Amino acid sequence: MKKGQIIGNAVILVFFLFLLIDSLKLHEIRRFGEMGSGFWPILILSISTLLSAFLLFSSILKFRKGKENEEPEETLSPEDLASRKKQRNIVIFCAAVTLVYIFAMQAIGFALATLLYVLAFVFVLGERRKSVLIVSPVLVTALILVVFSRFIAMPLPKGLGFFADLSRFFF
Amino acid sequence: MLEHYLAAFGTILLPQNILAMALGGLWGIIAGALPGISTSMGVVLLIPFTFALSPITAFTTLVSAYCGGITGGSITSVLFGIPGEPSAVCTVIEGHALAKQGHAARALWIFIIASAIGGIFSVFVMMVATPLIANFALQFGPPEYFALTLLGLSVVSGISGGSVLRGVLSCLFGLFLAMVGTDGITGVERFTFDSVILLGGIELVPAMVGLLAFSEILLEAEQPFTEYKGSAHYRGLREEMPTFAEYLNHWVVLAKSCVIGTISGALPGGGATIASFLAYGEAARTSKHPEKFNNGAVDGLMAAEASNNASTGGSMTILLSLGIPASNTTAMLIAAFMIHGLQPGPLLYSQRPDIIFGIFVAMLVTNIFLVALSIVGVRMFLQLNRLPYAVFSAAIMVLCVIGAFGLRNSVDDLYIMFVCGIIGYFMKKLDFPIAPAVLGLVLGDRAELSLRRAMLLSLGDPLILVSRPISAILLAAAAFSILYPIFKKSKMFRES
Repeated sequence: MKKGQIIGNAVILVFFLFLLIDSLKLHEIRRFGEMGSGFWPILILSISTLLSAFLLFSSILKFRKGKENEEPEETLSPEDLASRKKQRNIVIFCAAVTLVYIFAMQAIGFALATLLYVLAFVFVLGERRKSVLIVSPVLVTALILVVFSRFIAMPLPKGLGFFADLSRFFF
Repeated sequence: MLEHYLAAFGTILLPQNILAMALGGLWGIIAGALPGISTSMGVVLLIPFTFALSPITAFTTLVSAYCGGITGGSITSVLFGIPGEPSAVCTVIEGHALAKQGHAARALWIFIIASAIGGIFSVFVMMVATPLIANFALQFGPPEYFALTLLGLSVVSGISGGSVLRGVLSCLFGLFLAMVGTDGITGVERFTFDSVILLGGIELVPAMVGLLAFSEILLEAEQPFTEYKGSAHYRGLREEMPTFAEYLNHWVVLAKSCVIGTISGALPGGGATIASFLAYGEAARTSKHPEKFNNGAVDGLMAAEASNNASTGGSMTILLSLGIPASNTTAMLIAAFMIHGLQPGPLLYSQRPDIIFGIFVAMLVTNIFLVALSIVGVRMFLQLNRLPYAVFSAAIMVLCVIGAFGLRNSVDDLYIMFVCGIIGYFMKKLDFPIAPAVLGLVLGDRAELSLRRAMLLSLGDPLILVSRPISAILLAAAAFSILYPIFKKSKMFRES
């Protein structure tokens, strides 16, 4: 049992406990002869809290048992550690780029935001070939625009000001 | 009934539905073939394309993708020895062995035809069984519906992934997500934390796209899939086409596998994977040439493929007649029904026979079509495989964003997708299965509403849930599906 898993299980317990406490205020909201808005949430969150406490407890026990039995801890070479850190950074960058994309498409419009997003995403994933970096964003954006804007007629975000005019040029 | 079938054939054979079937089936084959994109993820990503379509065209697309996904999972198994889907593991053993002997095209033919036989058989069973089960389920009241929903939730929680506890917790998290928003009966805000975004509740599609697809891309970003780099070689498909007599020689194996697959697919939690293992095991046990197993046994390959495709009809029978999902992909299909304003279950059969019969016919025609589509799919897959992985991931991410945005054209849904994606990523890292959470979200509303109605009926007496025989049996089955894996695990632990 890894320490990270114990921390994860503890976070789950705190999450459900917080929600359970929050749900208690719903207990009294009901009409005559009705089950009310609070019964189901309190029931579900009570079970969730109990089970997550059990999960945390059993993971701590497993961790201690592993230590008592002197099970060898996972040892990583400096290269493995560096590669793990690199992998973690890639995930963080991917998530960050996606969040920026969501914000950006409202301001600069779907077409331009998608073009930049695909370029950034492909780059973050390690692609360095110039041809791929140039062609893929244009191709993916064009395909998506044709299918969703022309064919399905989905009203995609056009952006603000100058960018809205630019978007109208494409869709 | 005949007029319903004639009308359904008339509708399904319209050009737009044939096109929907071809595109859906091809997408399913590609999604099933690519590791990192499961059939259920393929169906979820296809849902936004169906927003603008009529319900019948939408479901033709989705069920074609479902059937195609199960078939497509075997392409990589045969060509590269890597199962695109868990249900294609047995196909790797026999199909790839044949490929290594230089008979990849022969293995492809065997799996394509056996898949079609399994799929078509299960559709005929579905056509007979769905009306019978749906008519029986018309007797159900709120207590029975609550028990039935609980059974669906418990079965998927109990079997998905290794730990039952994690499965149940994942399902409870999904039930919590379904509670967020304004309570439809009292009008009270629940868990909105004064956020306007959460007032209307958590929409199914953004949450599903986040939990299933976005999280998967993040996970794949850690370790991009690069094992396909060697290209597959196979002799022309025409030269290695097996004869009809070859299938006839193995008719017993095919028949048994079809039955095993359909029954396994209909059992909640059974699905294609268990079906293929059971049928493969049975084929190995009764084979005249057991020595050929693990070394390219044709009957083993046929058994695995006929059974995993037969499971689709079994799963759809339970979905259409009772409204509960028997597999992950049918859980996604429930969401698609809801998006199109339909509620799968016994009432759908009596209220919208056009949809039900349309799905029957669409699945039948799709399974015949899949023979041709699979051949196109193999060629397309070999081309797609040359695409840089990063570009493919980026395209899928844009599809995720469009899928989440397209339902209500709201950027708020993108935030929900993003948060659910991050949660899904950590759930996967901590070994929590995602399917029960999605199922909890899909069925949460119905479970709560049925319970509240049952309590109203009984004036607050909870015994109504166990005093009615059908409800009691279903609740007992739900308890069994949770407790049995725990009991089995503890027994194994004690024995070891």
